[in-house]
Amino acid sequence: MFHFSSKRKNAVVTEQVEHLNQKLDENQLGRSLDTNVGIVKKLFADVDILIVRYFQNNHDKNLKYCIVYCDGVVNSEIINENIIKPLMLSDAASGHPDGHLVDDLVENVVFINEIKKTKEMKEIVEAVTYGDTILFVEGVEEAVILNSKGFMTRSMDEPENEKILSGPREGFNESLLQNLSLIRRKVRTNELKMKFTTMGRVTRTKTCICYIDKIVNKKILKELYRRLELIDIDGVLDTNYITELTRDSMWSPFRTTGYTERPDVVVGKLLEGRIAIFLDGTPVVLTVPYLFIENFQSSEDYYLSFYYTSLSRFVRLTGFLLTIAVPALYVAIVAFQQQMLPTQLLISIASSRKSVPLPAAAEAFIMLAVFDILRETGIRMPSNIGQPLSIVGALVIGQAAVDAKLVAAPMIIVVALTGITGLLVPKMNAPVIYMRLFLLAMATCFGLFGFVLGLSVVFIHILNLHSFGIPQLTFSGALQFQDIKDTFIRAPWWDMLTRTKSMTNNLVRMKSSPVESNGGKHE
Amino acid sequence: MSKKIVCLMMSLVLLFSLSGCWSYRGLNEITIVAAVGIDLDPATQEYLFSCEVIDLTATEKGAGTKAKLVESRGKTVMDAVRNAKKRLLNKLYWGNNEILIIGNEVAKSGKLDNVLVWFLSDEECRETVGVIVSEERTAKDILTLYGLDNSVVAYEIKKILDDDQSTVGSIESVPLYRAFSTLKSEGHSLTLPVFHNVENDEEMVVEADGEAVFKGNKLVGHLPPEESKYYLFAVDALHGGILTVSSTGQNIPDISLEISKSTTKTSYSYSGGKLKVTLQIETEAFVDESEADTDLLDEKTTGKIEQEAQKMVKERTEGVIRKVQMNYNSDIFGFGEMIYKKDLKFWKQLKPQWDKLFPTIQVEVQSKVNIVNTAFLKHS
Repeated sequence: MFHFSSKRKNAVVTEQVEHLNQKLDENQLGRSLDTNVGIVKKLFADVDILIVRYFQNNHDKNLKYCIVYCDGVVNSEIINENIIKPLMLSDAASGHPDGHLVDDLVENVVFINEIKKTKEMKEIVEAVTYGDTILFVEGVEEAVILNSKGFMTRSMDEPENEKILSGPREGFNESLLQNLSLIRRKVRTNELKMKFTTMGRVTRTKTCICYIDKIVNKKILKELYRRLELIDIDGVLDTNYITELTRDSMWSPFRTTGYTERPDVVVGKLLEGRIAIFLDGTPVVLTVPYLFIENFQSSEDYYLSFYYTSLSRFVRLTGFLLTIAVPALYVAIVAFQQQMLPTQLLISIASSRKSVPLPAAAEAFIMLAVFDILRETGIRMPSNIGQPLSIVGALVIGQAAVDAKLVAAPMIIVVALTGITGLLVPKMNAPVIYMRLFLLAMATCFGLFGFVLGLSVVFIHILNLHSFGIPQLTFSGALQFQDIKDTFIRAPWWDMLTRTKSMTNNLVRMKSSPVESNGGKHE
Repeated sequence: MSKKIVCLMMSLVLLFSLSGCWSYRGLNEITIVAAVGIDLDPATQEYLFSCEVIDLTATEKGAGTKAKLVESRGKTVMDAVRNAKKRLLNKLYWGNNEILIIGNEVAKSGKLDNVLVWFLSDEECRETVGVIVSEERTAKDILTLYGLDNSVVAYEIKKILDDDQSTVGSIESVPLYRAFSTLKSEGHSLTLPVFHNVENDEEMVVEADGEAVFKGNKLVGHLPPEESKYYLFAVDALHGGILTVSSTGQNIPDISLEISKSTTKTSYSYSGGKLKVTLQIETEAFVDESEADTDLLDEKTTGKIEQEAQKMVKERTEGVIRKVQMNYNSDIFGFGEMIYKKDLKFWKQLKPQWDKLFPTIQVEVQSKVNIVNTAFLKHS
C-alpha cells in the first residue's frame, strides 16, 4: 500500500527512502554466512542496538549459525533458551543434506511458536526492528525469522480520562497485540476480523482494522480502505493522524471518528457495525463511522440504570446547548434586547453593571479568554500546584474582580456556567470553543437576531457533517422510533431491538424482547 | 459557485433588513422606567410628565430596589418625554415600563387618545403596560408614594392590577393595546381602573378604587369598588372575589361566598322598537365563612343562601347598569359591540341614534349561583 512515488514535496526523505529501498532490493541473500550478515550489518550501520551473535553446533562444527536481533525489543530468555541453546546442543540437524537443513531446524530444533522463512532483505529489516530474531545459517540462501518479541509495556490500567463509576475497568496500552487480545477475549467468534496493515513510510507502524464480518457495512469498510490507501505519510504516532488524514470535510472542527481507550467501548461499537482501527504504539483506538450523537454517549450509559443514564444523556445535551449559547445569549439580551428580561432581573443585572467600565461584550470575550487560559493551565500544570492555581482562579479572577468593579458579577456566573457545562461534552472540546466564540461574535454585532442566525449556521453545518459517507445527523424525515432509542434517552436494553440503521444492514440485535414476550414480567 | 455566493449575499441582505430595530446599548447607558404619569397643566395646556425610574446607585448598595422621580414638561407627550433627557445622564428605557397613569386633568379634558397613541407607537414601550387613572389631583401624586411591600410603587400597582380580578374582583386590568382598541371601537366605551391614596399605618399608600367610566375620550364618572364588582359581572370579567350575603334575609351579611368561576352570556332581542338585553350570569362559589350554627350539609340551607346570592347579584348588577345608563350614558358594557358582531346591518341602523337609545335599553339580569363547596367544620 505504500507507493514511493516522488509526488510529495518532501523530496529529501523520499530520496533517502528510495535509496534504501533500492539497496534492499539489490541485496539478495547468498550462500555465505558472512556475506549475508555483512549485508545486514551494512544496512544497520550506526545502529548500535543491533546485536550479531555467531555460534556453532556442538556436534557438527560445520553448522555455523548467526542470529541478529535488536537489543531491548526482544525477550533475552527466549533467545537464550529457545534459540541458541537448542541450536548449539541439538544433534538433530547434524550431517543433514543441505537442501532440508532449514526445514529441519525449524521443525525439530528451535522452540519458537512463530517462524517464517524468507529471502527478502526488506522483510528481514522489518522483522528485526519489531523484535524478531533472524537466524542465518552457513551455506543456506534463506534466513529464518523467529518470534522473540519482548517489549516493555504499561499495565492495562483504567484510562485516566475515561473513568466510569461501574463497568469494566481495563484499558488499552501501547502494545497492539495486547490491545487486540483484550478485544479477542471479549468477542469469541470467528466473525471478528482483524486485518493487519502498515502505516508510515518511515515508522512502518503496525495497524489493525477490526470488524465483525456479519454486522459491518461493506460499503463503509471499502471506503475506509480506500482512504487509508491514500495516506502517504512518514510516520503515524497516534490514531489522530489517521483521523485527520481521512476526514470527510477538511476544515470542520467536529470529530468524524470516535476514539476510546476502553476495550468494552470498542466491542460495543463493533457490535453496532462500526470498524475499529488499532495502531501500534498508542492506546487510543478509533471507531468509524462516527455519529453526532456519539459525542454525548458514554460507555457508562449502558452499564447503569436507563432511568439514570437517560437523565444524564439529557443533561449532557442541555450542557452542550448551554455551553455554546449562554455567553452569546447573555450579551444579546443585556446589550440589545433588554426587553426580554423580567423587570426584577433587569434591575439586578443593571445595578451590578452600573459601575463596571467595560461593555458586556468585551467583558464576555475577556472572561472567556481568561477561562480558557485557566483551563489550559489546569491541564498542563504539575498536579502539586493545583491548589494555588484554583485560589488564584476562583478568588482573584472571580471574587476580587467583582469587588474591584472590573467585571460584573453576572458575567462571572455566565462564564462559570459556560465552563462547567463545557466539561460535559469532552469529545467536542474543540468545536464547542469555536461555536461559542462565533455565536458570541454574532450576538455582539447583531443581538438576538445574530444569535439565531449564528445558531442556524452552526446547525446547518452539523447537519452537513459526514463520517465515511454516513451523515452524522439524520434528517427528521428519515426518523424512525427505533433509531432514536439511543439518542436523547437511552432506552432499556429490552427495548433496543435493532441496531442503528445508517451503520449496518444487519439490523437485528435481538429477535424479540425477553421481557415483553413474557407479558412484561419475569415470574 | 458565483451564483451560490450571489444568492447567499442577497438572502443575507434581505435577512438583515427584516431584523427590526436594534443597536448595541449597554445596561449602564439606560435609565429604567418603572411607571409614567401624564398630567395636564390646566393653565398652559402643557403636558406634565413624571416618571418613576429605578435608582440603580441606591439599589446597588443593597437594601432592595429604590426608585426616584423624574419630571419634565412639554407641548406634546413626546416633547415632554424628550425634555426629560435635559436633566438625565442616560436615555429613558421603556422596555420594562409597567404602568401608565393618566392624570385626572388629562382624562377630563378628553386628551386620552393623544397619550395612548404615543405610548403605542413608540417602538420601545410595551403594549401590555397597565393603564390606570389617578383619582388624586395629579398622576404624580400616586408616583410620589412608596408601595406597602415594594418600594417601587409601579410594581406594587402592577401586582394589584394583575391579581385583583381573581382575588377581590373590583377592577379590570386593561393593558394599553386593549384600552386603545376599546377607545376606537364602535359601541363600546372604555373603563379604566382608578387608584387613589389612602392612609395606612400613618403612611400614605396606593389603593385600587373601582373603575373610571369614559365616554369617548372623556372621563364622565366613577364606579366605586362595591359597584365595579357588578360591572365586572356584567362584562364577564370576574374570576374571583367575595359575595357577602345574609342567611337570615336581614341586611347584616353573615356569610361569605368566594367566587370560583363566573360566566356571563349576553344576548339581545328587538321587538316593537324596544331593545332588550339579557344577561345570564352563572356563578360557582364556595362558602368560606358562615355563622357557626349554619348547617351547610343541609341542601335547604345552601339553597337559601344560593337564592339570596342570586337575588343580590341580579339586583346590584341591574342597579349598576341602570346607573351607567342614566347618569353617564356610556356603553361600557359593550352592548353596541355585541349587536355589531351579531348583526351588522341592524347595528348600522341603530348606530346614529345609539346615544339616545342606550339609556332606554331594557336590561334583564338572570343570575344563577351554585355553591359547589362548603367549608363545613363538624363538631366532634
